[in-house]
Amino acid sequence: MAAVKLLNVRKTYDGKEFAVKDISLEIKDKEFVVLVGPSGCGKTTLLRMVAGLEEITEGEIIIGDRVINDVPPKSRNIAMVFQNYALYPHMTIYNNMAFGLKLRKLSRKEIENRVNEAADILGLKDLLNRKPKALSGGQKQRVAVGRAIVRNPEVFLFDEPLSNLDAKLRMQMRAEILKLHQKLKITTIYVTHDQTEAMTMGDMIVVINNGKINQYDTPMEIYKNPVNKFVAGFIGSPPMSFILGKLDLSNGNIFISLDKAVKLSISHLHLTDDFDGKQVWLGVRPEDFRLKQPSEKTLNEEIEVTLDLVEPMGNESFFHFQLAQSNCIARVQTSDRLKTGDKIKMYLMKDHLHLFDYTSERKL
Amino acid sequence: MIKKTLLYFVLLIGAVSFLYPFIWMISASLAPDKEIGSLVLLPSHITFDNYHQLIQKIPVWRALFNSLFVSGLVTLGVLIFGSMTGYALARLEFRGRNLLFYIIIFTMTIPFQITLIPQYIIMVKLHWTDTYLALVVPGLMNAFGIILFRQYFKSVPQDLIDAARLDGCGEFGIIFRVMWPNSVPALVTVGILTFMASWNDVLWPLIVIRDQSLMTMPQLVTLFVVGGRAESQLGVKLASAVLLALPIIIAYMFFQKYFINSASSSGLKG
Repeated sequence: MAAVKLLNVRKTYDGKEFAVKDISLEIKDKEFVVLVGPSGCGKTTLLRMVAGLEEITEGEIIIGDRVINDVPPKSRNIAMVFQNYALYPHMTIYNNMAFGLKLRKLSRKEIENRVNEAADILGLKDLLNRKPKALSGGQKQRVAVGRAIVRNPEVFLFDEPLSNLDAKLRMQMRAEILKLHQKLKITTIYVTHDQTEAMTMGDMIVVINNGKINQYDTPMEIYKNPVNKFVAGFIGSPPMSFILGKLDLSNGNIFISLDKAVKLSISHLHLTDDFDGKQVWLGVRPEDFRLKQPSEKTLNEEIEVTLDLVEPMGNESFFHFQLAQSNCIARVQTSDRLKTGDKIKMYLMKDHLHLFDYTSERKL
Repeated sequence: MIKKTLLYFVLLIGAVSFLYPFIWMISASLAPDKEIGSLVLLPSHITFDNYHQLIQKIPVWRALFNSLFVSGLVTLGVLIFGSMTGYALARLEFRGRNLLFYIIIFTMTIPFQITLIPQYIIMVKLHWTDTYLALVVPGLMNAFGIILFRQYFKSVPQDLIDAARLDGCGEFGIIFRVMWPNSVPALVTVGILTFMASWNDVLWPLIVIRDQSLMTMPQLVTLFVVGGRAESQLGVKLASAVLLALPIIIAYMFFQKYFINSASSSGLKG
């Protein structure tokens, strides 16, 4: 068990452009941390630096109380699960799991105990004599996890382990990995580009973009209080809708006009006077668009939109529509029989609105 | 139908023209001396006279052993060193890697005859002439093996190598415990082609070996046939040719599938 600390870590491949720019991060012992971001954002590079598969250009990585910059991968006491499983095709499942232990010169008895124990936990008992090619994707991934846990590592690294699985299996494995973490309580760093995985799995989420940490917080906090437009748009599914608007501060009241027709009062927000007349992004989560019932009375300003697309999900529907020339998505309970082309009235939950600066895209 | 018949006819002619001399060689080596000139395939009776004479005249068994020993070591060397170099070129990052690779490719374009004399001089300076070292050491590495291994290793997923590294493998462990078992086709291809090239080589042994007890089979047979010691006895010459071809034929029977694969996968004629 160990905490992991990254201090001003940077990585460059060509000496010019940085794939990872000055990342500092503290991961507590036993914590499950998810690194999430779009492809090419540097999250996998970061993970590979922790694993020792990439050199660290600048900065320090500390596991426990040991700086591991110059420690070879095999001596870092970490285990990694790869996206495409990376099982040795020529070895049986047993040997796949035992290989690392054999190289560490453990006794045969000890190896047998550990492999059997891991096989028990992961339900691989009957597969131990098979070769990887005789296994399904989910089974292979389980073996890859098994190979990692037999080593009793201080830190677990997962590199997009579920990307190659189909949706149903992915959900199942997600739960299995979480249960395993609750059982073994090993510090875990998990890389994914899938925000659902990030939200559901992490104790903490690190949102990375362009080689930089944008936000490091709990899933709920990131969902509720994204620090910038990127994080707001990346976390949450369907994504947050962004509408360009103009602020109007007069007599202590704050209004935002989205286009000629729509002007919302947002006086509950605190903004300094110099925002008057500035352009901002208004961010609205899908569930913060509400369908106005004909009988309903509300103080919120109504907006009228035409449905471009209706995606029924069973218990709810996603409405796609245009508001002030921006594409928006609303999540509504489906008691209605609304279809594409219908005109509907909605209002916004103003307490939950997000405002972002137009140029810096930071949260206001 | 006509098309098919025509095709088989052409193939038949091809097969006969390739096989006839070969079969004739075997049958003639088993025929009594005076029947050899008649080009018939079945001698009136089979005799091993030619082989008896051959064995008495030259140390055939010793040469056979020498050839197997030398070709075996050379093949093993090419597999080991070729895969090591190929791995480094495919998977390790170091300065000048590509330049090195281009130089290695370039060496393939230099005819052996050009390096022959410098190589001989090196052997003389090392006092290696008339030793196994002269036969084995220069062959332990070749560009073809390196290039084939490099190409093959490039197709192995990086994750597999990373996994091995995290499991505790060093570079040698990765090559021999992970790459090798997953590169059997490359190993077989390089192995077969190297073994055949080494087995069939005459020129180099002729230059560095004079001691008859160290001579390889093709060298000994060549010297025997063209060097006058066969005393123009065609039957004995043919017997020596049969013995020369035999090991490759036996190997071919066992590894037929791989021979064909290796010829097609390397883009070379087998």
